[in-house]
Amino acid sequence: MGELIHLTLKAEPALPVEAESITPDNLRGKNEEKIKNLPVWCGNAQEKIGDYFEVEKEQSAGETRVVLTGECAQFKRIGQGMSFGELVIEGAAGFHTGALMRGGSLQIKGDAADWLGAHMEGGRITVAGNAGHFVGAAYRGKTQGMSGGMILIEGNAGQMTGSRMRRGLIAVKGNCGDALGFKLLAGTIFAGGRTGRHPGANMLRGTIILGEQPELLSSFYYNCTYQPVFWNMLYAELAGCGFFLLPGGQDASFKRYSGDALNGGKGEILVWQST
Amino acid sequence: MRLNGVEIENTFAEAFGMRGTRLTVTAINETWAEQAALAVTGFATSVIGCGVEAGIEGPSGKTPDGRAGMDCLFFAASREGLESTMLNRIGQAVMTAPTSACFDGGLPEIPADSDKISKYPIGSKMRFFGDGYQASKIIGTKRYWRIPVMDGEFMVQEEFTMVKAIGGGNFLIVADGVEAALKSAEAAVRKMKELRGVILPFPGGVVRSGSKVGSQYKFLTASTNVFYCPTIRGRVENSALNAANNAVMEIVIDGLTEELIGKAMAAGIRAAVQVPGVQKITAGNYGGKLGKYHFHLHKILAGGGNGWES
Repeated sequence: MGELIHLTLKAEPALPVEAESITPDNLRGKNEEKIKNLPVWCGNAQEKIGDYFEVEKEQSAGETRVVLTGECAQFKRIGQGMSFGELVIEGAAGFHTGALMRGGSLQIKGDAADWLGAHMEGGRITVAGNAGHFVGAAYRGKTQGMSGGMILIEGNAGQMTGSRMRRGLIAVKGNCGDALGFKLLAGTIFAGGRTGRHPGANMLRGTIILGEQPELLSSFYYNCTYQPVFWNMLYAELAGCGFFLLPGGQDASFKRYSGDALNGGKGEILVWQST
Repeated sequence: MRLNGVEIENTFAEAFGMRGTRLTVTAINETWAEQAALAVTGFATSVIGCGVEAGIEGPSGKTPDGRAGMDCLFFAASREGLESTMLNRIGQAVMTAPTSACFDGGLPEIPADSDKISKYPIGSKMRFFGDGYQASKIIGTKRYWRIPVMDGEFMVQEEFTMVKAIGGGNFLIVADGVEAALKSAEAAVRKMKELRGVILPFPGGVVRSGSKVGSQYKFLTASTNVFYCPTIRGRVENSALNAANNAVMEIVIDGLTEELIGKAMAAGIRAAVQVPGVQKITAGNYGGKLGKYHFHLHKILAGGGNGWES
């Protein structure tokens, strides 16, 4: 028997709240009182989940499911390190949401702030709105960012999406900011709309797939136009998640560029060619 | 026992433990998927001389890349033998076929947690053909290798699945002449090819040169099955044929499970006895001393599902 845990926001706080205690892992098996007493931090003051949320719990089928209702843009680190279950945020989410996530499903029905899924290792994050900067990226001083899992964004994403990503998949249906896939180590990044300046700058390996032709750095060189077999599989994989990529879809052709030549040239940028 | 008036001898087919694997070969269209499948399953009738036994099951229902595909089964005597031959065959016969890709066909017939199942590397070894320009891609939970080739990329899955399977299920069709024996065998093959999880590795599914273990020549480990050769019936002591038997055809079956082989044999025999001129159905065995798996003809035709024993 699973659990369905509702956290309903009483009022949007004026100051940011560190809420890494809100994960299915942490809430599982606890009664409403214990959940209310779990700590959150506002500045240097330790507070409780119950100070901000009404808590209701009921039995349900399936895995542990946690549903947050309200605009949670001021709450940081929700779902940080979660390893299983389902976490649904019915509004916006704050910084570092899903950072270090290892498994399970995290759904954000509104917008997500910066550092979404930073250093993520597994699981799936879906964002119905837009995401901020540094999606799946590495924190300052770290050499590797996201190392597994999947981040799917229906809207736009900010700068340095997938920076230093090591493995996994980030797909953005809309536009992305500057330095998409900066210093990408491996993995796959998809951006359906426009991209800012210098996509793939200093990338080592990995794949960046773009729906629109960007202005590429001169350290990227054109190879050919072809239909990569793996695209069909990627398309099908995401379609299975309800995330449909470029119209015209599965049989698309791409221009293939190799780069960044300043870092070995083993990476690739594929640019979709409309038929 | 008689079926449609044809004697079914009270004997059994003796089969052996093998290792089996399934490939899904895809390409830009059905023609090239079939070409790749024909090439990769070529010259694979018997482990005696080919090292592997292989066959095409048929078009894939659903392929990983959404393109046209063919499922092929392979059986070898050992894990090492299968791994080695698959590496060679995929490298020489699938990768070389235009637009092809090669995936683990999976083994849904076997429970996923069965200890009979194991993985073996293919893509992770083949990737070196890329000479440093290869790249991998993880999609879902599986890793694939992309090897640059002259028409684009050859995509091959990193690991494939093998299972402890069975080879050497068989039955023999004894008839009054070649025409009847062959028509009967063809009818059996058509019926048996409707089943997945089994292959008939010989040409057209039929073998006319059945073999026995050993030979009067020391350098040969197998030789013609003299007991079923009509042209020397009078010279062979204990020939299995009588004066009315003028031709014999054998059908050999490899399968992923005992149950699948038993079902295939039963379906094949039932089709075979419908052809006029068929006089007897029998099976090849070594007295039960060599093979672990015994398929009793009477039992498998009784349809109870207990016709096979190991």
